Amino acid sequence: MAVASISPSTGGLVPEAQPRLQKPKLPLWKQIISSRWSYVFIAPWLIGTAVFGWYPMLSSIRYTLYNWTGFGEPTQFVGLRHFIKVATSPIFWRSVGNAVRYTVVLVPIQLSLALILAIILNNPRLRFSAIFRAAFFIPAICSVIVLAVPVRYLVLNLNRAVPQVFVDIGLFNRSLGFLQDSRYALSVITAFGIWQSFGYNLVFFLAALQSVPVELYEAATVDGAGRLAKLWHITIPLIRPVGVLILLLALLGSMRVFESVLALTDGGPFFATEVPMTYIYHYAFRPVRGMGGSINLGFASAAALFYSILLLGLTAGQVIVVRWSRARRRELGLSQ
Amino acid sequence: MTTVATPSLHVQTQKRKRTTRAQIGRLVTYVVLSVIGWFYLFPFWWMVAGSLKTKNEFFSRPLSLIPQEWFFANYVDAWNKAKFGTYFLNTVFVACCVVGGVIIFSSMAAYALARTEFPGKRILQTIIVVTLFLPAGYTIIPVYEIMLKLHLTNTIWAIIILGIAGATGFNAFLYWGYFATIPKEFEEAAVIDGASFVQTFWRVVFPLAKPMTGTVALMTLLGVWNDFFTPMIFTLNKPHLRTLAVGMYAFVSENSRDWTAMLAAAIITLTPIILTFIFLQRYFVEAISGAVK
Repeated sequence: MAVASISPSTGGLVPEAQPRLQKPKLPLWKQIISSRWSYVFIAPWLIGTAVFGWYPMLSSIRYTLYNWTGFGEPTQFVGLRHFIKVATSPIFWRSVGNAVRYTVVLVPIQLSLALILAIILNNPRLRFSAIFRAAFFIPAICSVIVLAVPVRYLVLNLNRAVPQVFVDIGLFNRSLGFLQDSRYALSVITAFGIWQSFGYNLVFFLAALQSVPVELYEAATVDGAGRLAKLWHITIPLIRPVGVLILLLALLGSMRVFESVLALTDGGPFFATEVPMTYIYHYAFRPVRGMGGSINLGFASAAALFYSILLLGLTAGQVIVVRWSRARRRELGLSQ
Repeated sequence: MTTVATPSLHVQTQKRKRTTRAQIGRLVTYVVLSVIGWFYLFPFWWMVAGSLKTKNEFFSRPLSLIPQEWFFANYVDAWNKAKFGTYFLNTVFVACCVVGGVIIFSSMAAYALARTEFPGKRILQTIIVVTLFLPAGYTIIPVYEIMLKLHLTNTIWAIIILGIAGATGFNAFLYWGYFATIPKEFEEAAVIDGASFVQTFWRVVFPLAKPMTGTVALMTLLGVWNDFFTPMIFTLNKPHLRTLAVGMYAFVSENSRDWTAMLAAAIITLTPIILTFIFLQRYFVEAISGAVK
């Protein structure tokens, strides 16, 4: 094969297009044998994921079609009756409403506070910012349940400290306290939620802020931009990809709140603070009074599947937004 | 005569006024942040104070932050009577096993994915992406059934195996990204020197990924130490196997009036993680920021 030829017009050398060097195609079984170590290395992870991830996902769908108390094999086929029961259950929809109320209050408040504090702490001239960041992050690294149990007793003791005035005008009932009073219980749980996970979003926003190149701000200063203009025209647009991701994760996480509700109120006074995850838990493992039924793993699975589908928009959105935001940040030159 | 450009006295005074104003502004920020920060951590002050009070003092002055005498017996109660010593050792054991298992298995899988081509790789990647989108039922129930069939429901191994299986996926992804940035020359040199596939991995590539191993270890440790739901399902009714988080939840029903011991138990549970965080703060933040980017 000639590597080059003489160009007819100019008389000079012209490189010849080379046919692509093809690796000889091995038959499939030979390929498998030659990459045997790949399979060995992948095996533990693959087996673990298949057995404890994929198979349960499929299997749990099968359980939604049966009545089953958990002993032996499920034998009582009920078809789609569980789904109808969930879709028409007032307690279930109440739990969804509670989760929505929780999310709609928590996410805007917590994220805006986190962003504001991140902007304040991102000032390089502020010494000790690491200490403040640590202080606000500590509740976030703790186990939710280990915080919620003492906080429950803290709130119980705070009940005693409420001034008598509020009791007299009927706003506060000292025998119920905050957590047994359906007027306040969800608010306490929400406040706890805002407090506990604030640190995570603070650190996320700090990371996002720090990825903005300083030169942009310096150039803006030269052009005469004030602090507010810099915020609006540089900071906000550049952290928007990460911001959307943070928002979506916060929404999804809040709709699936479980441990704090379980420890603080276990669904609240007669389901006033029940959320979907505790609803499912009550039907699967630990019934509560007034539930209208006892342990029914089939029904719990159906409720869980139903709720997953309700949240499908958010979960699918999460996968899509991760990819979008990574592409966008590459566009903006914020990461490679 | 040398002319030295010195700002006029007027400008100098103005500059001093501007810096002083900036300094005062910063001082105000420090004070405000400190006050907010102190209130933010109030539950922790309360827990520490309460854990050091005698039961009588706790009952009469529950909200005070400085105990009259420092009463350490609550910690002894929590460790022995309330069995938190056992829970602590269980949690440490689970954490060591899970972190070790995750590091080994996820780095292995990531190496195969990053550096080799094999039949079925494309299919695998597609399956992984698809499973991210699927809605799921209550997967803990089938998982429990599998553990029943394996006769592992009364052991601590259930928690360990599930912990490893759950965390390997995400961490393999992290390692994969990291391995992709390691120059191939190292491996090529090892192969030329006669290293086998396994040797190339263990002796050359894996040591090079130490930073990522640190991150993986830290994040996995955090997840395992704080994990509540899965350990609860498997060990709530087996007190000698419980982890700290499960113990905390069980405490309420089993020792319901011993609040000072409960606070001591909470401090026992939280202190290792908080101390780890304070000393390794930088790595935590880097790990989380890295995940964001």
